[in-house]
Amino acid sequence: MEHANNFAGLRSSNKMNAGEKLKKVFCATFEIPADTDFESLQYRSIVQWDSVAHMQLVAALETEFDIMMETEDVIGLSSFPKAREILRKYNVSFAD
Amino acid sequence: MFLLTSSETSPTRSALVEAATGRIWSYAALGSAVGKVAGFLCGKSKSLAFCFCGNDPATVVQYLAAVDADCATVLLDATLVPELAQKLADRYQPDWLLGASESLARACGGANVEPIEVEAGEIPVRLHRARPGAPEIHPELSLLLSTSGSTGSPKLVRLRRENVEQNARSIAIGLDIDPDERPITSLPIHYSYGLSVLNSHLLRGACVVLTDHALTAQEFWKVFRQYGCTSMAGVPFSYQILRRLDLDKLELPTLRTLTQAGGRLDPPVVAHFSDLMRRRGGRFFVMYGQTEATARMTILPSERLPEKLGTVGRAIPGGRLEILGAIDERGTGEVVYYGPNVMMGYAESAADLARGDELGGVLHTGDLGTLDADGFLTIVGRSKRIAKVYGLRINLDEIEATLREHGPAAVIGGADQLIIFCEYGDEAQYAECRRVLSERLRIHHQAFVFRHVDSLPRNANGKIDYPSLQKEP
Repeated sequence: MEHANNFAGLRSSNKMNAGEKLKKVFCATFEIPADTDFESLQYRSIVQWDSVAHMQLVAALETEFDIMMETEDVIGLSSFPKAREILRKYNVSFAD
Repeated sequence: MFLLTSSETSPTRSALVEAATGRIWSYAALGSAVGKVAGFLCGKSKSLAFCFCGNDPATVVQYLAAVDADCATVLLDATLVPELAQKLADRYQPDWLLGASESLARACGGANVEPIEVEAGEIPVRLHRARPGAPEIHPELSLLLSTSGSTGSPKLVRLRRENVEQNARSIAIGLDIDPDERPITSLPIHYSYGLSVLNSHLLRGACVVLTDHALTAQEFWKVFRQYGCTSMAGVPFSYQILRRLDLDKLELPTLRTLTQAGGRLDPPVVAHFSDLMRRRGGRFFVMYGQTEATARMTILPSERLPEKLGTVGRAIPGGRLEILGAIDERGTGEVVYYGPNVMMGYAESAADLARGDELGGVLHTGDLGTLDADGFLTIVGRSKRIAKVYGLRINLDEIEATLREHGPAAVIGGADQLIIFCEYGDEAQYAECRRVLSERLRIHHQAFVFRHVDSLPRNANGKIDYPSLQKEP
């Protein structure tokens, strides 16, 4: 509704679902537009996904979803779909 | 043959592993490939080669061949933005483009650039001959390295072949590199530290495992395990990542050597990794250097930790340190290094390629430090306005100059951060500045921290008072 495709705001609202929050984190970390094709977004598909951005992504996900990621998940976080899969492991539910 | 004595003494030993395919080249095979390519690059007069680098076998062959053929060889990041590569080509007028895609070769060499087919032991070498008419090149000029990583700054460090060979030898001795070491390419080959790992291990007949993957990728650690790698090099940010990943959780039974350079690592973190490696029966080396000294100037021997914690070690074999102009009772002064690895000088124009050795083996590092009674160096700060962010070297004055277009600004360096104090601007403007700087310097945008100030602190002579900015919370 009012949130539509605008992820410019820095604070997340309770009304955002997990999928929207995840997109917001990716947008903020990589500075990509809200209408990016997230499903095909992966490490090495965009030049700005280097090790620095990767660690920022991890920190941002942990903050946004209030979790602590295990080592295997930190290095397994290789794409947007993978991020969703990993978050599900930490009991984040994505209304599909 | 440049660095490849093992192609004759131990021809069957493995030299390179290409992790992406699992293919292995022996020292004999590598030597043969280098010889073939060097044959094409040799000419009547000395030529200039741009070598675009990735962590792959073609890069290794192209680089070694160019140096062996006595070309003046510029090592560049293959992912360098084409516009920046073109600017460098316009400035320096290379005769050869190595490892360039067709479009990059045309951007740098013009439409008439000529691709040369070379069969080099199944290694996909790429050679392009560009327009002739390169400027005069000094006979001793062998290797040129950027001081600023991927930013495409035109300023290059001019090195002699002797600089590179001597530094490789000193590092091999200082780290006690044996032929059974298997380093993984955790750093880019075009970067002086990453290059020194390649050089020092090839010199000792060790096997180098080539991968382009980042430390934060699962694939990197799979490669490490699969090929039984023994050693890894890292800048401070790499160790931040390792700390988070937890080496024990990564299950790396073959890891026995860690090295650190490219900026200051906090003593508690140094202590952490030193203890960790000692528990595993391995070694951890802290080191210090500059591209201006080829790579390395000092090494802190692993067994001298924790005793010498806080220092960066002693001068490497063949090198010597002095402190110039002590400014306090602790003897703090500028660190001066003497050694056969000191550059000839810089190049900023094509005409500079003709210059010879301007430093005579003496490097004023621009860093401040003290030497203890055992000759161990402690770096106290920088007398130049340079910061290290994620291992990249950033000239703070250059950034300030860019920002001053909008209003008074001062930039200082933090830990993997650039802190920018502005008398102007709001969040929206800072966001835009951040975006522009991030793109230009190829540094993640979150490294730039903007702070609004009513007025910048200044000295009596009107210059910005940086020490007081450093004290800001």
